[in-house]
Amino acid sequence: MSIETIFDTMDYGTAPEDSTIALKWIADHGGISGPYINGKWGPFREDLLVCNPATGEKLAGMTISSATEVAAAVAAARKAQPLWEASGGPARARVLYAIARLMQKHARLLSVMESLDNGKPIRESRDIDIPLAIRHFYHHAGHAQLMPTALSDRVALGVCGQIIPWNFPLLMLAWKIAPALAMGNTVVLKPAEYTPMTAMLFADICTQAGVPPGVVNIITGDGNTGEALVASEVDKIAFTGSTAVGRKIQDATATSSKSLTLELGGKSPYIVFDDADIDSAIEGFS
Amino acid sequence: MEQKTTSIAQMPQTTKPRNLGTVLDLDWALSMQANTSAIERRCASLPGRRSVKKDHQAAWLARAISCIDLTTLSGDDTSGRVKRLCAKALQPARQDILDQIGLPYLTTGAVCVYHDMITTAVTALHGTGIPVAAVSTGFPAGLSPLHLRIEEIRESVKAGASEIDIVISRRHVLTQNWQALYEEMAAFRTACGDAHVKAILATGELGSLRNVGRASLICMMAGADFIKTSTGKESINATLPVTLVMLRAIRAYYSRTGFRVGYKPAGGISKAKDAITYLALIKEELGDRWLRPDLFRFGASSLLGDIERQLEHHLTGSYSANHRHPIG
Repeated sequence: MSIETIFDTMDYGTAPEDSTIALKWIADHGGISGPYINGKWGPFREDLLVCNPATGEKLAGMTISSATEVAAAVAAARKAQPLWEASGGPARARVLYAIARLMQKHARLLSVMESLDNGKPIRESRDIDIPLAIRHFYHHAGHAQLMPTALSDRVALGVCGQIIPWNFPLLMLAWKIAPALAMGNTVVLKPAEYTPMTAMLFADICTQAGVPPGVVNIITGDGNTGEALVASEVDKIAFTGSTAVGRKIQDATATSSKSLTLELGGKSPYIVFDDADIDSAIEGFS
Repeated sequence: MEQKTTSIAQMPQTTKPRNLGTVLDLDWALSMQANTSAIERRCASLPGRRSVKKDHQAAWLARAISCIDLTTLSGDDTSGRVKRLCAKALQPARQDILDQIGLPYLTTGAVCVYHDMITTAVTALHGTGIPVAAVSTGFPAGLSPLHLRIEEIRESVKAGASEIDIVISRRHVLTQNWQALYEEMAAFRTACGDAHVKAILATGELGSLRNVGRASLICMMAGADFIKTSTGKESINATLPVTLVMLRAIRAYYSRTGFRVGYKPAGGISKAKDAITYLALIKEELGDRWLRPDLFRFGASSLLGDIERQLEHHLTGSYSANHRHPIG
């Protein structure tokens, strides 16, 4: 379309975000999303494909972690937990703060990767998801810093097994990992099988931020991997996802002493009064 | 000298039925609501949501140029300055820039001056098709005797202005004297005759977005052809939130009456990027029909220089200094 034509039609045209840096990052890291256990990567197997929902193109391969690999991650978390808790709130706050700063530094890369993996518009990942995820790490760094004075009667649960969905990959990761780490827990997190990429970037950031090995463990995988995690020797299971799977987890953990939190499906009501500014109400809803 | 204008007709009378106004419907005007937080949030996120790049940006900037009311309203205006302004309106960017974007005959939408400069402008623009708009009715404060304000309109129309930008009495809005506002606007519209009237609401002085919405509706009911945000002389002039409220009022008025009223933001838009954001908001709220100079004008002067700079950047990859794009 010539400028003259666009002058008449006033089309928006496209304004695509540049994806080359994110794609290069994936290529530089072997093109496979795999587990991050005890501060080390691997094993990398192309058990499944991770695709860009907008185009259907392959982004990377993905390892489906086996029960053995899950057990190894839980063992690493168990080993690292006492030292992590004993290091004290302020020490943990420093690490969380470093994570937040590094996420900010790589915000654009995280946003683009999130959009490529999940399919949400860059405007959402860049302006909503990633900034919120970063804020969570700052916020919980604050809690860690204040724990000795404000929460002196509290102790960590121990090792937390965490399973997150694909709708807000990095944000759900932040909601799970930041508070757990702040209070002295260590984590084993399984990202959704559709969207493991920003968890991989996050693990890289953990290495850079000086997170001690074993404190954060990421195990990529599918429903079976999640099941193995629920059955493993963790002190707590935190799950966000479908109500059906949530019920199964409830059944599976009912007779154990594991702590359980479930964030399941639901809808929020939206009440519009008859004297409302209708246009603004509709926009606020959508 | 043969002079073609752009392909878009700029004279409002030739392209759409004129707003005949309606009786004052106070219930309707007072039912107008504006959720300030929601409006501000929408406007704050708009520049990030609507990106127009490369060729599309160049085309949109050219459309913005075609909608500019190129304005000089200074106490030290001279006929020399107005002549230079008119020359700039006729050729808004360096000819090679216009040629390269494929719009060699692009002009601004109009020229806007004080009453005493109308004759100079009309003479300078003779035969070009570019209309001359005059600010009137005691601009900018509008606090001179009513009969003189009305006479000022008549004199300006006699002198050749085809568009008149009037200022409303803000106190009618602030004291909720809607009847007085309606009558004042109707009187101004009558005095204009065939000339088109833009109602300057001075939104920065009206106190709330709800008042802006109400004043918009009442001025349209009283026959305004355009509603305009501000004189450019207030401390707060055009903003995106008041724009959104006014555009929604225009849409509501069009829905009810079938009359299309135009919109003009004035003052505070000096960057090309802002011009794109305003165009995007109008496109979203009112549609492409309102992106034409018979229904949309930027009240601006330095904006043109920044747009020219952006166009040159599009063509060459480099930004030149501001002084290389003088206003005339």
